[in-house]
Amino acid sequence: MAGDGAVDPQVVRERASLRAALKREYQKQIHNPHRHGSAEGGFLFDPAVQRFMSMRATQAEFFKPTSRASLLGLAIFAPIVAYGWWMKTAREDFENKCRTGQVSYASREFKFC
Amino acid sequence: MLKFIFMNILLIAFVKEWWFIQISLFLMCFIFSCFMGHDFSVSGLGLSLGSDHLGFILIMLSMWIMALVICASQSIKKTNNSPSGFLVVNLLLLLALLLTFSATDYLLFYISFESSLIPTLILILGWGYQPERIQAGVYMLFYTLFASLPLLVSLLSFYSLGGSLTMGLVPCAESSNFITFMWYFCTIFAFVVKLPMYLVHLWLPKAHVEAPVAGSMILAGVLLKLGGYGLIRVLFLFPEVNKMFSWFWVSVSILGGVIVSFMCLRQVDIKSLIAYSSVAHMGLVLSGLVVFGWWGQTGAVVIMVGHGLCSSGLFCLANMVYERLGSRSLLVNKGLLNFMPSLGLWWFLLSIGNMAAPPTINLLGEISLILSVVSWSKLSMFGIGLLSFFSAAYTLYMYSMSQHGLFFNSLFSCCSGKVSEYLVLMLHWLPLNVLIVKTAMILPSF
Repeated sequence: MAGDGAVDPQVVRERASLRAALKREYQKQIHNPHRHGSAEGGFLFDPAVQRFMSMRATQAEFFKPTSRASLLGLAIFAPIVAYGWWMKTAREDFENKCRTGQVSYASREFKFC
Repeated sequence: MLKFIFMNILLIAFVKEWWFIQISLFLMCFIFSCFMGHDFSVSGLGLSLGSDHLGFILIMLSMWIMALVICASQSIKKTNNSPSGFLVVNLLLLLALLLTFSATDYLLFYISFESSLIPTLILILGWGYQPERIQAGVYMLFYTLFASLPLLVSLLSFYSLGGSLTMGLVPCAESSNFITFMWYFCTIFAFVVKLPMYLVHLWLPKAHVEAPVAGSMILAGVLLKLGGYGLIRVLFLFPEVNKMFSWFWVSVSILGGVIVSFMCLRQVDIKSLIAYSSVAHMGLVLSGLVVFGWWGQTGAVVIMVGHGLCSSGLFCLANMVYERLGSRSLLVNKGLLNFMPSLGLWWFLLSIGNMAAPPTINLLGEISLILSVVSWSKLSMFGIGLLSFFSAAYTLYMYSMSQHGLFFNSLFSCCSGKVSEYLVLMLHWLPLNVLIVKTAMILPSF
């Protein structure tokens, strides 16, 4: 159990030897002079990095339509329509005021619209 | 105008020599700027072709970017990955673009607009390097085709209404009833998908990421501008309906740009980040275009030129890093300043161009667009403020993530930077920063 305080030295030694073997293998691969000298560049293949990138690249394929996903879609679309409507009504009010003479041409900020 | 079309077609006969095509494309830019670059309203008229100032700007951009595309794709020549076929496809794409930007007839414009998709598809499928490129090609093709078939119907309606499809002679649709609204929507939907606007932008990250560097550069540099150019050419045909519905396009493009900027901050793939940033920039362009002001139209053109150069340069940089390190992931491509400091200069210069720093023309365009959209409605300032702020945020994220810090431990040795690559990047950066002293070259005189 984690946080027990009591460790089994046998297990610790085993894990350390596995880790050391992996490190030795990594050092052997990364310091290969023929690979460095071939000027092809690249990096030592890391399956964890590959898994992460593949996960991000294929995120769309694992999409499941749930109610939460639909709410997210609404949360994106509704503010767009609401913001646009707000701008539309404000603009139409202003244009109405201009047309009926309540705002004079000289006092407009942006002329020659 | 025909001299440049023929020069382009005849270059296809010389694709066996890479250097010849490379030099000829720069020569074509130079000759075009000498012949057509003076004060005029329209020049080179004949056979439904002609170049007015807007067409001149965009033809120059497409020829320049195509020349830089050939320079940046040296690896195709080195690895002998069908280089002559590659050059043929690029020259056909340039032909389609030249015809599109110089068409004075709406039907010729439409046909070349559609035909630019085929060489792009061949480029993605033939020289892309991941199996996802099939889906990317399908998305790009079907999004654009689905949106542009109604455009054909609407152009034919204009023909039956007015008897001519020559630009400038087509009568405007003056009314504002439901049928005119459907007509308006069918006409501009194609360009809105091409730009792309936020809700119909899904093809862009896929196509940009899966394309080879040539495809990414030409997509970001010129093909997105086809949408903007098309909007400038058709939007004035629907004055009343556009005034009724511009609020929707402004809201979608600005808030959509903000949302896409948030998504940029979450990307782990460099090309994907640059692709999403294109959506944000084009969102601002769309909002400037539909508010129908002079500042908006000119600001849109200036941003189109500046973004074409900047995004194309960033894709070039991303490819340079990919050629060396074999990965587009930001986890692997980090701390590049440690061993590629000269390239870091170009990362910095093009990144600040992306966030509209002076003295790039992006600054001029962004100021003009902000002024025009705010003049339409001061409430848009919320969205525009967020858009500009997050555009700087994700650019800083991209720059600091890729350049600063420690580099990835598992890297093998690679070349730190070739002079030909610095040349390509400088040719992207120079027009972007120097054109601000003679902005009459990129401000279209409508």
